[in-house]
Amino acid sequence: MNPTDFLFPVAALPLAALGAMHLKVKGSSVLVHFGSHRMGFQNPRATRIAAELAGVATLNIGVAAYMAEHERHHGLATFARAGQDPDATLFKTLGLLVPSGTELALWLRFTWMLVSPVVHCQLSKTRLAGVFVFGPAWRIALAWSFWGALAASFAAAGLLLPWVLGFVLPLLLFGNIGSLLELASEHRFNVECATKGRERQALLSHARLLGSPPPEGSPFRQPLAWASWTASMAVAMAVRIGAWPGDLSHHDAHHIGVRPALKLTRFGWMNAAYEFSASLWDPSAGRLRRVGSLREAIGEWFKALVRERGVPPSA
Amino acid sequence: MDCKLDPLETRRKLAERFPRWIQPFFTWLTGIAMPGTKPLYRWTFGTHLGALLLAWLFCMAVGTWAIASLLRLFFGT
Repeated sequence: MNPTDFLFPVAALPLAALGAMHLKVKGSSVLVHFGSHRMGFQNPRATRIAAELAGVATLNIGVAAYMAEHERHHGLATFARAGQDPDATLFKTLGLLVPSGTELALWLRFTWMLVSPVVHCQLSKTRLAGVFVFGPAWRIALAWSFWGALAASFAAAGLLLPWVLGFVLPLLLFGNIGSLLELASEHRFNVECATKGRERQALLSHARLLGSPPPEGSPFRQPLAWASWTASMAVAMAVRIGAWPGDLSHHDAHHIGVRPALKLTRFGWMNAAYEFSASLWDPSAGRLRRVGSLREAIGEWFKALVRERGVPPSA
Repeated sequence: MDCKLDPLETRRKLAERFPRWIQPFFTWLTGIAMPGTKPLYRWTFGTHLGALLLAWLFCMAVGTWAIASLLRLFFGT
Protein backbone atom coordinates (compact mmCIF):
# COMPACT_ATOMS: atom_id res chain seq x y z
CA MET A 1 0.00 0.00 0.00
CA ASN A 2 1.32 3.42 -0.93
CA PRO A 3 1.30 5.65 2.24
CA THR A 4 -0.28 8.53 0.31
CA ASP A 5 -3.29 6.32 -0.48
CA PHE A 6 -4.01 6.42 3.22
CA LEU A 7 -2.61 9.82 4.25
CA PHE A 8 -4.48 12.05 1.81
CA PRO A 9 -7.97 10.73 2.66
CA VAL A 10 -7.20 10.85 6.39
CA ALA A 11 -5.85 14.41 6.05
CA ALA A 12 -9.07 15.35 4.21
CA LEU A 13 -11.28 14.24 7.12
CA PRO A 14 -10.61 17.26 9.42
CA LEU A 15 -11.18 19.50 6.40
CA ALA A 16 -14.54 17.83 5.78
CA ALA A 17 -15.43 18.20 9.48
CA LEU A 18 -14.52 21.90 9.54
CA GLY A 19 -16.42 22.38 6.29
CA ALA A 20 -19.49 20.74 7.82
CA MET A 21 -19.34 23.14 10.79
CA HIS A 22 -19.01 26.06 8.38
CA LEU A 23 -21.96 24.95 6.25
CA LYS A 24 -24.28 24.51 9.23
CA VAL A 25 -23.37 27.79 10.96
CA LYS A 26 -23.22 29.85 7.77
CA GLY A 27 -26.48 28.31 6.60
CA SER A 28 -28.41 29.11 9.77
CA SER A 29 -26.70 31.94 11.65
CA VAL A 30 -25.75 33.91 8.52
CA LEU A 31 -28.02 33.19 5.54
CA VAL A 32 -31.28 32.05 7.20
CA HIS A 33 -30.62 34.81 9.75
CA PHE A 34 -30.31 37.43 7.01
CA GLY A 35 -33.43 35.97 5.41
CA SER A 36 -35.38 36.19 8.65
CA HIS A 37 -34.44 39.89 8.94
CA ARG A 38 -35.31 40.37 5.24
CA MET A 39 -31.74 41.56 4.60
CA GLY A 40 -31.00 39.87 1.30
CA PHE A 41 -31.99 40.79 -2.22
CA GLN A 42 -34.15 43.81 -3.06
CA ASN A 43 -37.03 41.42 -3.71
CA PRO A 44 -38.28 39.97 -0.36
CA ARG A 45 -39.65 36.85 -2.06
CA ALA A 46 -36.29 36.11 -3.70
CA THR A 47 -34.61 36.61 -0.31
CA ARG A 48 -37.03 34.18 1.33
CA ILE A 49 -36.56 31.52 -1.36
CA ALA A 50 -32.77 31.85 -1.30
CA ALA A 51 -32.67 31.63 2.50
CA GLU A 52 -34.97 28.58 2.46
CA LEU A 53 -32.73 26.90 -0.13
CA ALA A 54 -29.68 27.59 2.03
CA GLY A 55 -31.54 26.14 5.01
CA VAL A 56 -32.57 22.98 3.16
CA ALA A 57 -29.10 22.37 1.71
CA THR A 58 -27.43 22.75 5.12
CA LEU A 59 -30.11 20.81 7.05
CA ASN A 60 -31.31 23.80 9.02
CA ILE A 61 -34.78 24.82 10.18
CA GLY A 62 -36.80 27.08 7.89
CA VAL A 63 -36.98 30.86 7.83
CA ALA A 64 -40.40 31.08 9.53
CA ALA A 65 -39.37 28.80 12.41
CA TYR A 66 -36.05 30.63 12.75
CA MET A 67 -37.80 33.99 12.72
CA ALA A 68 -40.26 32.94 15.44
CA GLU A 69 -37.42 31.94 17.75
CA HIS A 70 -35.17 34.81 16.76
CA GLU A 71 -37.78 37.46 17.49
CA ARG A 72 -38.04 36.12 21.02
CA HIS A 73 -34.23 36.14 21.25
CA HIS A 74 -34.22 39.83 20.29
CA GLY A 75 -36.94 40.76 22.81
CA LEU A 76 -35.74 43.63 24.96
CA ALA A 77 -37.11 42.23 28.22
CA THR A 78 -36.26 38.58 27.78
CA PHE A 79 -32.90 38.70 26.05
CA ALA A 80 -30.50 35.89 27.12
CA ARG A 81 -32.76 34.57 29.87
CA ALA A 82 -33.62 30.85 30.07
CA GLY A 83 -37.32 30.14 29.97
CA GLN A 84 -37.87 33.12 27.67
CA ASP A 85 -34.93 33.32 25.29
CA PRO A 86 -34.92 30.17 23.10
CA ASP A 87 -31.10 30.09 22.84
CA ALA A 88 -30.68 30.22 26.62
CA THR A 89 -33.49 27.68 27.02
CA LEU A 90 -31.63 25.31 24.69
CA PHE A 91 -28.62 25.30 27.02
CA LYS A 92 -30.94 24.73 29.97
CA THR A 93 -32.61 21.83 28.16
CA LEU A 94 -29.22 20.33 27.35
CA GLY A 95 -28.28 20.44 31.03
CA LEU A 96 -25.66 23.19 30.99
CA LEU A 97 -27.50 25.84 32.99
CA VAL A 98 -27.64 24.43 36.50
CA PRO A 99 -27.43 26.76 39.51
CA SER A 100 -24.27 25.31 41.01
CA GLY A 101 -20.73 24.35 40.13
CA THR A 102 -17.37 25.79 39.29
CA GLU A 103 -15.95 27.09 36.02
CA LEU A 104 -14.12 23.79 35.58
CA ALA A 105 -17.37 21.86 36.05
CA LEU A 106 -19.05 24.07 33.44
CA TRP A 107 -16.20 23.50 30.99
CA LEU A 108 -16.35 19.75 31.54
CA ARG A 109 -20.12 19.71 31.14
CA PHE A 110 -19.88 21.83 27.99
CA THR A 111 -17.14 19.64 26.51
CA TRP A 112 -19.24 16.55 27.17
CA MET A 113 -22.22 18.31 25.59
CA LEU A 114 -20.21 18.74 22.36
CA VAL A 115 -19.68 14.98 22.00
CA SER A 116 -22.66 13.52 23.88
CA PRO A 117 -24.68 11.11 21.69
CA VAL A 118 -27.87 12.15 23.51
CA VAL A 119 -27.29 15.84 22.71
CA HIS A 120 -26.46 15.05 19.08
CA CYS A 121 -29.56 12.89 18.70
CA GLN A 122 -31.72 15.62 20.17
CA LEU A 123 -30.25 18.41 18.01
CA SER A 124 -30.16 16.32 14.83
CA LYS A 125 -33.77 15.23 15.34
CA THR A 126 -34.85 18.86 15.67
CA ARG A 127 -32.93 19.84 12.55
CA LEU A 128 -34.20 16.94 10.44
CA ALA A 129 -37.79 17.53 11.57
CA GLY A 130 -37.36 21.23 10.71
CA VAL A 131 -36.29 20.27 7.19
CA PHE A 132 -38.45 17.24 6.33
CA VAL A 133 -41.54 17.45 8.55
CA PHE A 134 -42.42 20.98 9.65
CA GLY A 135 -42.79 24.16 7.63
CA PRO A 136 -44.53 25.22 4.43
CA ALA A 137 -45.58 22.31 2.16
CA TRP A 138 -43.47 23.62 -0.75
CA ARG A 139 -40.36 23.67 1.45
CA ILE A 140 -40.97 20.13 2.69
CA ALA A 141 -41.51 18.95 -0.90
CA LEU A 142 -38.33 20.76 -1.97
CA ALA A 143 -36.36 19.15 0.86
CA TRP A 144 -37.55 15.62 0.06
CA SER A 145 -36.93 16.12 -3.68
CA PHE A 146 -33.51 17.70 -3.20
CA TRP A 147 -32.10 15.21 -0.69
CA GLY A 148 -33.91 12.28 -2.37
CA ALA A 149 -32.38 13.14 -5.75
CA LEU A 150 -28.93 13.51 -4.18
CA ALA A 151 -29.22 10.15 -2.38
CA ALA A 152 -30.44 8.46 -5.57
CA SER A 153 -27.55 9.94 -7.59
CA PHE A 154 -24.94 8.74 -5.11
CA ALA A 155 -26.62 5.34 -4.83
CA ALA A 156 -26.54 5.01 -8.63
CA ALA A 157 -22.81 5.81 -8.55
CA GLY A 158 -22.27 3.20 -5.81
CA LEU A 159 -21.27 5.94 -3.38
CA LEU A 160 -24.28 6.09 -1.06
CA LEU A 161 -22.39 4.90 2.06
CA PRO A 162 -19.36 7.20 1.53
CA TRP A 163 -21.74 10.12 0.90
CA VAL A 164 -23.70 9.45 4.08
CA LEU A 165 -20.57 8.88 6.20
CA GLY A 166 -18.47 11.59 4.58
CA PHE A 167 -21.00 14.38 4.12
CA VAL A 168 -24.48 13.89 5.60
CA LEU A 169 -23.36 12.61 9.00
CA PRO A 170 -20.63 15.27 9.44
CA LEU A 171 -23.13 17.94 8.36
CA LEU A 172 -25.34 16.81 11.24
CA LEU A 173 -22.75 16.04 13.93
CA PHE A 174 -20.04 18.62 13.25
CA GLY A 175 -22.78 21.06 12.31
CA ASN A 176 -24.22 20.62 15.80
CA ILE A 177 -20.78 21.23 17.31
CA GLY A 178 -20.31 24.39 15.23
CA SER A 179 -23.70 25.67 16.31
CA LEU A 180 -23.09 24.94 19.99
CA LEU A 181 -19.72 26.73 19.86
CA GLU A 182 -21.33 29.68 18.09
CA LEU A 183 -24.24 29.90 20.52
CA ALA A 184 -22.14 29.40 23.66
CA SER A 185 -19.84 32.23 22.64
CA GLU A 186 -22.66 34.56 21.65
CA HIS A 187 -24.03 35.92 24.95
CA ARG A 188 -23.72 35.61 28.69
CA PHE A 189 -26.94 33.61 28.89
CA ASN A 190 -28.93 33.51 32.10
CA VAL A 191 -26.66 35.98 33.87
CA GLU A 192 -28.61 38.51 35.88
CA CYS A 193 -28.02 42.23 35.45
CA ALA A 194 -30.08 45.06 36.83
CA THR A 195 -30.36 46.97 33.55
CA LYS A 196 -32.92 46.58 30.78
CA GLY A 197 -33.26 47.14 27.06
CA ARG A 198 -30.25 48.15 24.96
CA GLU A 199 -27.95 48.48 27.96
CA ARG A 200 -28.82 44.95 29.07
CA GLN A 201 -28.13 43.64 25.56
CA ALA A 202 -24.75 45.39 25.55
CA LEU A 203 -23.81 43.97 28.96
CA LEU A 204 -24.69 40.42 27.95
CA SER A 205 -22.98 40.53 24.51
CA HIS A 206 -19.47 40.95 23.18
CA ALA A 207 -17.66 41.48 19.88
CA ARG A 208 -15.98 38.17 19.05
CA LEU A 209 -12.56 38.99 17.67
CA LEU A 210 -9.64 36.70 16.91
CA GLY A 211 -5.88 36.55 16.40
CA SER A 212 -2.72 36.86 18.45
CA PRO A 213 0.18 39.33 18.15
CA PRO A 214 3.21 38.09 16.18
CA PRO A 215 6.50 37.53 18.07
CA GLU A 216 8.84 40.52 18.25
CA GLY A 217 11.97 38.91 16.73
CA SER A 218 12.52 37.45 13.26
CA PRO A 219 11.37 33.89 12.41
CA PHE A 220 15.06 32.88 12.04
CA ARG A 221 15.95 33.98 15.55
CA GLN A 222 12.76 32.74 17.23
CA PRO A 223 11.51 29.77 15.21
CA LEU A 224 9.61 28.22 18.14
CA ALA A 225 7.78 31.45 18.97
CA TRP A 226 6.81 31.85 15.31
CA ALA A 227 5.72 28.22 15.06
CA SER A 228 3.55 28.69 18.14
CA TRP A 229 2.09 31.92 16.71
CA THR A 230 1.36 30.19 13.37
CA ALA A 231 -0.42 27.39 15.22
CA SER A 232 -2.50 29.88 17.22
CA MET A 233 -3.47 31.70 14.00
CA ALA A 234 -4.44 28.35 12.42
CA VAL A 235 -6.75 27.72 15.39
CA ALA A 236 -8.16 31.23 14.97
CA MET A 237 -8.81 30.50 11.28
CA ALA A 238 -10.62 27.29 12.18
CA VAL A 239 -12.82 29.23 14.62
CA ARG A 240 -13.53 31.93 12.03
CA ILE A 241 -14.49 29.31 9.43
CA GLY A 242 -16.29 26.79 11.61
CA ALA A 243 -17.93 28.82 14.37
CA TRP A 244 -17.97 32.53 13.50
CA PRO A 245 -18.32 32.84 9.71
CA GLY A 246 -19.66 35.91 7.94
CA ASP A 247 -20.71 38.79 10.16
CA LEU A 248 -20.83 36.75 13.37
CA SER A 249 -17.77 38.47 14.85
CA HIS A 250 -19.94 41.57 15.14
CA HIS A 251 -23.01 39.82 16.48
CA ASP A 252 -23.10 42.24 19.43
CA ALA A 253 -23.57 45.18 17.06
CA HIS A 254 -26.54 43.32 15.61
CA HIS A 255 -28.22 43.56 19.01
CA ILE A 256 -26.87 46.87 20.22
CA GLY A 257 -26.94 48.76 16.93
CA VAL A 258 -23.69 50.72 17.22
CA ARG A 259 -24.73 53.11 14.51
CA PRO A 260 -28.51 52.95 14.13
CA ALA A 261 -28.34 54.01 10.48
CA LEU A 262 -26.31 50.91 9.72
CA LYS A 263 -28.39 48.49 11.71
CA LEU A 264 -30.76 47.64 8.91
CA THR A 265 -28.65 48.16 5.82
CA ARG A 266 -28.11 45.11 3.65
CA PHE A 267 -24.56 45.70 2.50
CA GLY A 268 -23.30 46.86 5.89
CA TRP A 269 -23.88 43.46 7.40
CA MET A 270 -22.39 41.56 4.50
CA ASN A 271 -19.11 43.49 5.10
CA ALA A 272 -19.38 43.76 8.87
CA ALA A 273 -15.66 43.99 9.74
CA TYR A 274 -15.26 47.12 7.59
CA GLU A 275 -18.55 48.68 8.64
CA PHE A 276 -18.24 48.21 12.39
CA SER A 277 -14.52 48.46 13.11
CA ALA A 278 -14.59 52.26 13.33
CA SER A 279 -16.65 51.96 16.49
CA LEU A 280 -14.16 49.44 17.89
CA TRP A 281 -11.33 51.94 17.55
CA ASP A 282 -13.43 54.77 18.97
CA PRO A 283 -13.58 54.49 22.78
CA SER A 284 -16.57 56.83 22.97
CA ALA A 285 -18.72 54.74 20.59
CA GLY A 286 -20.29 52.74 23.39
CA ARG A 287 -18.80 49.36 22.56
CA LEU A 288 -18.72 47.81 26.01
CA ARG A 289 -17.27 44.34 25.62
CA ARG A 290 -14.92 42.50 23.31
CA VAL A 291 -13.21 39.12 23.52
CA GLY A 292 -10.13 37.90 21.67
CA SER A 293 -10.72 34.16 21.34
CA LEU A 294 -13.39 31.47 21.39
CA ARG A 295 -12.10 30.25 24.75
CA GLU A 296 -12.31 33.73 26.21
CA ALA A 297 -15.84 34.24 24.86
CA ILE A 298 -17.17 31.05 26.45
CA GLY A 299 -14.97 31.48 29.56
CA GLU A 300 -16.40 34.97 30.22
CA TRP A 301 -19.88 33.48 30.21
CA PHE A 302 -18.92 30.66 32.56
CA LYS A 303 -17.18 33.09 34.92
CA ALA A 304 -20.32 35.20 35.07
CA LEU A 305 -22.48 32.11 35.63
CA VAL A 306 -20.32 31.05 38.58
CA ARG A 307 -20.49 34.59 40.03
CA GLU A 308 -24.28 34.34 39.72
CA ARG A 309 -24.38 30.98 41.50
CA GLY A 310 -27.64 30.49 43.32
CA VAL A 311 -29.74 32.23 40.69
CA PRO A 312 -32.19 29.61 39.42
CA PRO A 313 -31.83 29.02 35.66
CA SER A 314 -35.43 30.02 35.08
CA ALA A 315 -35.07 33.38 36.89
CA MET B 1 -2.13 30.49 24.03
CA ASP B 2 -3.01 33.52 26.11
CA CYS B 3 -6.76 33.95 26.20
CA LYS B 4 -6.63 37.49 27.56
CA LEU B 5 -5.34 39.38 24.55
CA ASP B 6 -6.44 42.85 23.59
CA PRO B 7 -7.83 42.31 20.09
CA LEU B 8 -7.17 45.91 19.03
CA GLU B 9 -3.53 45.72 20.14
CA THR B 10 -3.21 42.41 18.28
CA ARG B 11 -4.63 43.96 15.12
CA ARG B 12 -2.34 46.98 15.40
CA LYS B 13 0.71 44.73 15.68
CA LEU B 14 -0.40 42.63 12.71
CA ALA B 15 -0.70 45.82 10.67
CA GLU B 16 2.76 47.00 11.77
CA ARG B 17 4.60 43.72 11.21
CA PHE B 18 3.10 42.48 7.93
CA PRO B 19 2.86 44.00 4.43
CA ARG B 20 -0.22 45.74 3.12
CA TRP B 21 -1.22 43.00 0.67
CA ILE B 22 -1.97 40.55 3.48
CA GLN B 23 -3.99 43.01 5.60
CA PRO B 24 -7.41 42.09 4.08
CA PHE B 25 -6.76 38.51 5.24
CA PHE B 26 -6.05 39.74 8.79
CA THR B 27 -9.17 41.91 8.66
CA TRP B 28 -11.23 38.84 7.78
CA LEU B 29 -9.52 36.71 10.43
CA THR B 30 -9.56 39.14 13.33
CA GLY B 31 -12.86 40.82 12.45
CA ILE B 32 -11.15 44.21 12.79
CA ALA B 33 -10.36 46.57 9.91
CA MET B 34 -7.62 49.16 10.46
CA PRO B 35 -9.00 52.74 10.47
CA GLY B 36 -9.51 54.16 7.00
CA THR B 37 -9.17 50.87 5.12
CA LYS B 38 -11.62 49.85 2.42
CA PRO B 39 -12.61 46.30 1.41
CA LEU B 40 -11.04 44.90 -1.77
CA TYR B 41 -14.40 43.40 -2.62
CA ARG B 42 -17.84 44.14 -1.18
CA TRP B 43 -19.83 41.05 -0.29
CA THR B 44 -23.53 40.86 -0.99
CA PHE B 45 -26.22 38.41 0.06
CA GLY B 46 -25.91 36.80 -3.38
CA THR B 47 -22.14 36.31 -3.14
CA HIS B 48 -22.48 34.88 0.38
CA LEU B 49 -25.02 32.45 -1.06
CA GLY B 50 -22.68 31.59 -3.95
CA ALA B 51 -19.80 31.04 -1.52
CA LEU B 52 -22.00 28.73 0.53
CA LEU B 53 -22.89 26.74 -2.59
CA LEU B 54 -19.20 26.35 -3.53
CA ALA B 55 -18.31 25.33 0.02
CA TRP B 56 -21.22 22.87 0.02
CA LEU B 57 -20.02 21.24 -3.23
CA PHE B 58 -16.41 21.19 -2.02
CA CYS B 59 -17.28 19.61 1.35
CA MET B 60 -19.52 17.01 -0.26
CA ALA B 61 -16.79 16.08 -2.77
CA VAL B 62 -13.96 15.99 -0.20
CA GLY B 63 -15.92 14.09 2.46
CA THR B 64 -17.32 11.52 0.04
CA TRP B 65 -13.96 11.01 -1.67
CA ALA B 66 -12.11 10.59 1.64
CA ILE B 67 -14.51 7.99 3.00
CA ALA B 68 -14.78 6.17 -0.36
CA SER B 69 -10.95 5.99 -0.54
CA LEU B 70 -10.66 4.66 3.01
CA LEU B 71 -13.43 2.08 2.50
CA ARG B 72 -11.77 0.92 -0.72
CA LEU B 73 -8.41 0.71 1.03
CA PHE B 74 -9.63 -1.28 4.02
CA PHE B 75 -12.52 -3.31 2.64
CA GLY B 76 -11.85 -3.25 -1.09
CA THR B 77 -15.37 -1.93 -1.78
